[in-house]
Amino acid sequence: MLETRNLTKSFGPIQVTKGVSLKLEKGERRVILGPNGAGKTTLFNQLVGEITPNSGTIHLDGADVTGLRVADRARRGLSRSYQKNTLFDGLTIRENLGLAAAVALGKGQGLWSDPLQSPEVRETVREVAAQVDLAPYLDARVDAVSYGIRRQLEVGIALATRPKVILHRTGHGSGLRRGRHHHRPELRRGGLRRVARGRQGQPASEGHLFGGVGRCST
Amino acid sequence: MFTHSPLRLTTLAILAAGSLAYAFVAGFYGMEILAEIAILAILVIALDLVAGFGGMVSLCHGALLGVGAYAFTVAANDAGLTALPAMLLAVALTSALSFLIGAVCARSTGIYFIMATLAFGQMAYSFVFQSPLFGGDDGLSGAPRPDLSAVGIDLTDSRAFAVYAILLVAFAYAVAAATLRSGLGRSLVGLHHNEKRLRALGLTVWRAKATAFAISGALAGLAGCLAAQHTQFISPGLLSWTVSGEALVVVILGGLGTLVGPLLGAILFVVLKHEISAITPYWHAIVGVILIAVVMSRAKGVFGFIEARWEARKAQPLVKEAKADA
Amino acid sequence: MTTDIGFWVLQTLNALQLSMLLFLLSVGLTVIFGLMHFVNLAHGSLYAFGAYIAATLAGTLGYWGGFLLAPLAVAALGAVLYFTLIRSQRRAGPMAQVLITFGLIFVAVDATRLVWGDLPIGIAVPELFEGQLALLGVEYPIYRLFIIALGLAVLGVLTLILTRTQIGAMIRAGVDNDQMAACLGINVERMFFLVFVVGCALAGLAGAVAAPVLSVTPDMGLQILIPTLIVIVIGGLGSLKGAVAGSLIFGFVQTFGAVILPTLSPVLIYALLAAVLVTRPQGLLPAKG
Repeated sequence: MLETRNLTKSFGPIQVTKGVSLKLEKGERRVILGPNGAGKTTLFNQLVGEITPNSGTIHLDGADVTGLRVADRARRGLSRSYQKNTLFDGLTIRENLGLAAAVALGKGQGLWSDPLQSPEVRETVREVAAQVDLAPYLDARVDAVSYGIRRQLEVGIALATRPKVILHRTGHGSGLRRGRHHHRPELRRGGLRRVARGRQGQPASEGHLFGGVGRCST
Repeated sequence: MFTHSPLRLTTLAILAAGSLAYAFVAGFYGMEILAEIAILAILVIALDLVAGFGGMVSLCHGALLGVGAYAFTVAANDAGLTALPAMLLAVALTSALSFLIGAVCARSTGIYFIMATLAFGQMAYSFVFQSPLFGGDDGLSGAPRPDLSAVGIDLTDSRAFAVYAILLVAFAYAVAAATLRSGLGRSLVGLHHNEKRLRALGLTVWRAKATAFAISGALAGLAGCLAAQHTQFISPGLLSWTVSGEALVVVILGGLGTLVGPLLGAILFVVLKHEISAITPYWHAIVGVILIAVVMSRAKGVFGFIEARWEARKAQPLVKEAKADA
Repeated sequence: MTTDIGFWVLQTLNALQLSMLLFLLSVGLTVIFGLMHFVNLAHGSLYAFGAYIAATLAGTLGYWGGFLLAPLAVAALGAVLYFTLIRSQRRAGPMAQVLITFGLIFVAVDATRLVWGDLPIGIAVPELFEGQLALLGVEYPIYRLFIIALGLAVLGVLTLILTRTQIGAMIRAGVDNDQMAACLGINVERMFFLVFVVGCALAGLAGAVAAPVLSVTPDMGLQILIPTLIVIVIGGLGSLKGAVAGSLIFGFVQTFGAVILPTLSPVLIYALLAAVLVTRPQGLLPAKG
């Protein structure tokens, strides 16, 4: 699904990623680990398109996306979460998920109908809310809910685009091991499998890449 | 996200019924005031669309109104178009110009966006002021009013014109409300809250901003046409940045990001202006003091205040179903 | 167009004079922004107030009385504004600041009309600087040369203060990161106040200096505001170098534009501003890399 070949990025004289080649197959989950300064963030930012590599290529689902910008890669099915929650703060959780689904469905620029009322978007919102345990909170405003719920929404927004590949940006000791997911509630019970599989047994998306940071316990 | 709460719908209904009723009983002076309110109302609807919902605080909307007014007058006087095609042309032109401004300014945010729009507004102002085609400082006169005699309406009559102006406000409001409930409108609010995330979700940010600005600009252009038809004389002063500043003041006084509030703001502003300026020539100072007081009180304007009170009265638990879940 | 060297000297001096006047205004505004992230649209009104004070005092105390007291009076007004409006709105975001200071402009314009009337007031050039000076074959008013010299002197003093003194280092630290500066034990609040008041005093000085050259009218603050804003946006908000560069660019583009491309000149500077904002949204010499 996602493949890089010889990805190289330097900032001035410092070469941060040196010829990184990796491959994420359909249905696979991979974790990138490394100490501080190892270049995980630089690699991650190249994958999502925030920065351009000096050389090397990035392929998404067989197509070369190296030259594409963030939004273009997203439309081709690359989704991401943020280490620091990056939500639509003044809106409700339903609106957050709906907006993500609407934009992913290409309805973000439409003039003639309300995407939040469209059956597809509503269905996606319902499914994703179930996946990340947000169903009871759908009408709460994001700036009024706890950190844990916000964290679930962070992953929910990434899932609501129905992506082919999700890149997760996780924090210190992100607790990928069972029982240590205090701030990764979406990984509770069933752990990674649940995010990857969704509730009805269908894959939520076809590949997951976890960019862990620092002292990851796994 | 924009919704039509019962309070908003009620306010709209009262405003519509009240203004129409007033148009039929008012004297000549009252009808002039109504037309003036209508022009300002369309302009602030346009401004609230981008500033209140999209966070794009524009200081060029006065200039856009002026561009609409000049385009309309020139199209009608020099290109020989009748009023309705001239209006369409003027609105389309203002909209296209706004799309360009929106596209160019899309990268700027905060104070830089304000400054960038100010620069474009001043550019238009200087251009109109300078160009011989537009009569320079002397302005232009003779903008026609639409000829609706075919349906038995004479718009040279100020009562008919006042009703026509109110209908245009209703039209502008409908356009803005429809935009806000479209995919673009939803994205616009999202952009205000988190531009980075929307880009990562796949939105072409500059195009969304530019399109929203184009729709807002079209409405400002419409306000310009109405202004030209109302006074039948236009001068570069219409494009001055202080007009944009005043429009922003009205949006704030009425209630930023409520769409209904700015309508109230427009009524209050025009009425206050005429009432205070009848007593003292220093009405600007009084408006200034009110503005400072409103902004410092952190109230979301008159309508924002009413809405907050209304919400507080029927306050309810934030998460209804949470208890059942736990 | 002319090949006469005198013409170019004359225009260059005119451009410099305009640049220096704008520099006096923009430097305060830009450092206030850089340090406090506060946009003060009423900065032009402070300049107008300075001009009015100078014009009023010129009758009793003479030009130099006004020249000295106008900055002090404006600084005092600035201090009042700081404690009543500015301080509480520092974190309120650009829109609230723009609106409050826009409201202040309304109040200021009407207040000057109320006190000094609508008619323009003119004052004479001080005796010391009356007349013309022959310079490179051009007769140039001495007073205008004085404006240029004063601008350069203020620039020199500010550069020295900012680069060579402890308070300058504190200000630079504050512009870079005010929270970190506070953690290092710098009294940021006091520094904000000081910089704001000095910025106001410079605006008052600019007003006093401009009074004999321009006529003093209620809307002079509004007229100078847009050029000042253009200067600091082109230069880069918050930077002293940016204010210098922006002032020079504005002065020269405006002056030479008017003589070389008279039909385009009013649009020229706005086109330049738009170009800068598109290519370098943070301005040419931003305060932070």
